[in-house]
Amino acid sequence: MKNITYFFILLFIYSAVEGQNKGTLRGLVTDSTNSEALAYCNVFLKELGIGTATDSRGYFLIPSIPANQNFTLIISYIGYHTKKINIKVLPNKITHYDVQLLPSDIELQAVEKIEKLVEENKTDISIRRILSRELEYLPKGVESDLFRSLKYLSGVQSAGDVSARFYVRGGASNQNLILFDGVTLYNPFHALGLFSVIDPDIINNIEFYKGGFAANYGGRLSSVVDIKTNDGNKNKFGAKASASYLATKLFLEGPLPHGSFYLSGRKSYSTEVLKKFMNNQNIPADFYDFSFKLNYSNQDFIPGSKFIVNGFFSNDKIDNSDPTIEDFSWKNNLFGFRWFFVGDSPLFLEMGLGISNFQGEILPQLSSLNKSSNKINDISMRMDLTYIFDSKDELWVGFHINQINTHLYIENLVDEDTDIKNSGTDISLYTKYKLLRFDNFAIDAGLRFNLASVSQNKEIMFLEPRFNASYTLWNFLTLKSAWGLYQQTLTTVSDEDEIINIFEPWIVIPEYLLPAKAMHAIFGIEVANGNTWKLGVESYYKTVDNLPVLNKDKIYTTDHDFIAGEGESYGLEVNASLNTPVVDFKTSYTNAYAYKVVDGKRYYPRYDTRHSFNIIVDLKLGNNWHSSVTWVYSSGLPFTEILGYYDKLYLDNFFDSWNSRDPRRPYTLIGVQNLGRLPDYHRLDLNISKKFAFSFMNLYLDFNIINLYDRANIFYFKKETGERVNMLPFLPTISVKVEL
Amino acid sequence: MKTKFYLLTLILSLLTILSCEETFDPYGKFEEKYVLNCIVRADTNYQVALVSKSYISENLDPYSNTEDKSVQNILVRLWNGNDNVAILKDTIVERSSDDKYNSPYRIYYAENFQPIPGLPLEIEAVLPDGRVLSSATSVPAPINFLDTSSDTLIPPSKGDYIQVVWNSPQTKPVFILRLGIYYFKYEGGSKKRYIYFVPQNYVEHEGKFVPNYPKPITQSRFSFDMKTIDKAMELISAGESDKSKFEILSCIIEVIALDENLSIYYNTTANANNAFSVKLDEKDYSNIKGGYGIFGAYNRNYYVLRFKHDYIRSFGYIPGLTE
Repeated sequence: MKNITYFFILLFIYSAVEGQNKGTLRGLVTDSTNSEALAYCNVFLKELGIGTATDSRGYFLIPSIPANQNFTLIISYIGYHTKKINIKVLPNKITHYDVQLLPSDIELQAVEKIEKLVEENKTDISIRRILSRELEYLPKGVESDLFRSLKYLSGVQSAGDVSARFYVRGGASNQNLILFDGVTLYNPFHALGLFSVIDPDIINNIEFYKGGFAANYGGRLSSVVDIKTNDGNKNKFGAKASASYLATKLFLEGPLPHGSFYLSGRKSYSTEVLKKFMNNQNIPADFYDFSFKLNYSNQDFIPGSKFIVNGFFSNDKIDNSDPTIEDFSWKNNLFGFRWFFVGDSPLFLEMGLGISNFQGEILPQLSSLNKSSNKINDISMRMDLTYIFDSKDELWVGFHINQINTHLYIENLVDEDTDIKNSGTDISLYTKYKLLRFDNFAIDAGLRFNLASVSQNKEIMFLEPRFNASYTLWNFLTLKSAWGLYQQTLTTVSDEDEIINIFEPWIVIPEYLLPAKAMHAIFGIEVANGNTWKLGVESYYKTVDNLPVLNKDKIYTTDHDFIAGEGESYGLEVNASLNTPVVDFKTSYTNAYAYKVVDGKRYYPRYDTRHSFNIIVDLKLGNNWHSSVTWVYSSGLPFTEILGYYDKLYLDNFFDSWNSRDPRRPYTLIGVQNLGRLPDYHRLDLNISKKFAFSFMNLYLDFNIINLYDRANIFYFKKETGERVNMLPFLPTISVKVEL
Repeated sequence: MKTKFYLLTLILSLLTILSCEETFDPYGKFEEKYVLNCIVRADTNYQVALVSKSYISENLDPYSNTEDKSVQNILVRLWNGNDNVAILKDTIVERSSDDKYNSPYRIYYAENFQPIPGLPLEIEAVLPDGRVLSSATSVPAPINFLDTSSDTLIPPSKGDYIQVVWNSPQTKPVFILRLGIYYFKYEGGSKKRYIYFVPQNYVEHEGKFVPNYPKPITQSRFSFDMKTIDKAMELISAGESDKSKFEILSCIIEVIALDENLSIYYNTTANANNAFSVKLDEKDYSNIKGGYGIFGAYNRNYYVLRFKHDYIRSFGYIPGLTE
């Protein structure tokens, strides 16, 4: 421990000495038409041959630049004209430049040739950065959808194309952390989980970590989806309205004094198309989502500060008009306040307050179901501080405090209540040091300290160490690796055998179980040639201990609802991409294995797919035409085989005598859990879009075909009736968007 | 041109092949299993058991099987305590005309087996191949209605609901109950007896009153709202202009007490999915050693409530019993 302390002190002194007669360049890159931050731009200093990339907020910082000398700064970005500006930095100071890039025509959407590949973030591994426009051009089933788009990525599995629910590297869906502008979103699905609640039009960028995430993220075992929304147009007022078969949307944005705003709303109006998702069953779903964001940045009031207030509200109802069928309702309410500060030192400070509330309810009416409800309130406070040394090394320090209240109320079939209330506070400190001073070697070493936990079980894991490293062997080839421990104190009461699940309540993992913990070990190789082509190979190994699993052997009310299981997954992912001015080509292959061990029995979880293969071809056809074709293949999902049937006695009416009617009905005998495999899955999707530009507005027409060759991919087999239920059939859809 | 034609033909052929539905066999290896069902009633000495075997359905739909899978030549024995043994006889029972099976079904029965509450019960079925299915349970003790805490008259002297309270010696009791209004209706010069079962409440839907019947409970008390009883009294003669054709007798609450095995089994079989969730595998509870099925016991208890004559007359009906 002593040696480590000395090492950091020496690093600090070395950085301070080296920094004399040098200055730091900082900048914010935005779109010139609306002043939206441009995340992940390439920023390159020509004469020095060094560069960096903007972060998810559009900021970049390059330290140790010789002061008082003229340099050429080149900023390039896909879909924008490359900009060259002359810069000069002052000694021992931060010199700030605001850079605005002009969007290029759609057919020229390629990075203009730059002198050197700029690493986005050397130590990042298993991360995919997604921009909102990438979602727009992917084929979509009815609506463009964030979570459905994630399924095109390697290592992301699903239990079928009907649901938007996703599973990352063998982890359960409740192990994915969904952050909406820094605030946790607990139930991010509309309409039985068929769509995500987040409208892609409000998204600026997404950072999707499939594993190996650093110490600044915590609370989940598998993945992080960190969504950053747009700020709203700072230059002029604008409006967008669009309609699909399912919903209508309205988006308003515009400048405010020293800031901007957006308002966005979406409302379902027809459920006809949902029948295609649910075997022609009518789903009386009714939903809306609404979000807003205000930001304020006045240099006369705390210079270098930006204040953001945002909110997100979604509401879903399954409203049957028949009193003999149950109704459902669930809603999310999010509210966030953030203060982002960049001062006169190479320091980024972000403080945030957030409130996330989820409420779900089953209203049984006269059905055989019983009343159930779930509430979760999460009040969070976070501080993230990043200091960048002259050596380019970074020190990150922060804390996250979450006051969490959960309440689950369930009535069982004999009118007994289960009323589980939990209240507690998660307090985590984290620190990490990113050693970025060497051209070919980088380390991100961090620790997450769990000072307090909402878990009632006192044996929480106090330390979560995280370690990422990269080594650039040649200019075009980098080796990467990551290792880390992760902990999760919340879980959902969900039955993994339910492939469509409406009511999925969140609770604190009960006190008789330890919080779930996971270990990730990842190794990868990245080969790239500038921005033209890229090849990445990653292997991963993940174990999960204390995995809370619903106790299927629960008989008595006194039996525990959960038992502890274990999880193990490993696999190999290959990703390749080729970008040309006309065609973008992406392909990926995954060979994955996932297991769960419950009660001594080892089995494949429902979403375990051995082989997955995706191809996405994105064509810029000119004259505002755009097209994309996607082909997805995955080997068969597991299912439990049928061993036969027997006539089971059903106790429908104790008051009638047996002789009047045989009270038995066929019942299915099943084999070892998930030992069988369904047939392979594959699907071809097509998207063609056209932008019509008028003087006063833009009109976008978007035509999609899901499952072009109408492949009958089996979703599940109804054991009770012998009916085969397939996934999405041939489904052509069209959507229209008007932009003022 | 020719090349393009061939290419197009090839693509179309490929797409057609790809779109084909792959055959899928959901069956694993079939193993014959046996099923024993016997629910002993403490309120009668006539007991029934069913023995059947598992099967496979050629077209994957188990409901398409029309062949009854009852098993013959089984030696079924019931023990009550230690000394009272009954060997069950077998017989054939005709099915109702709308039953999916073409053939009658076979039952095993005992005509003179009166279970004794509180004592253990055992069953054993010896199959023709020598395999044995067995189980054990005990008959729940009868419940005692508490007259002092229960209402005896409808409507009650105070309050707007009637309440019935009982106690049970069982540790984990589950009760199923129903409330019936017994009445005569004069039809064609003679009177016929009817029972109208009172729901827990009514839900109005599209101008109709949909009944919501009581669910199983663990509490040793139950109450019926007087508004629901009023509505039930009204609905007895719905559509009839001549209310004097109805002679109201009394109300009887039947309370069935299940033993522990039956309670669990009931919970697992009645565990309904919601209308939209798709659940693939579920737990099958059985307490039969060597096979599937259930061996349980219950007893039935009655409690009579009388109507006030004024109340009956307020609906235009005739009181049938003394107050």
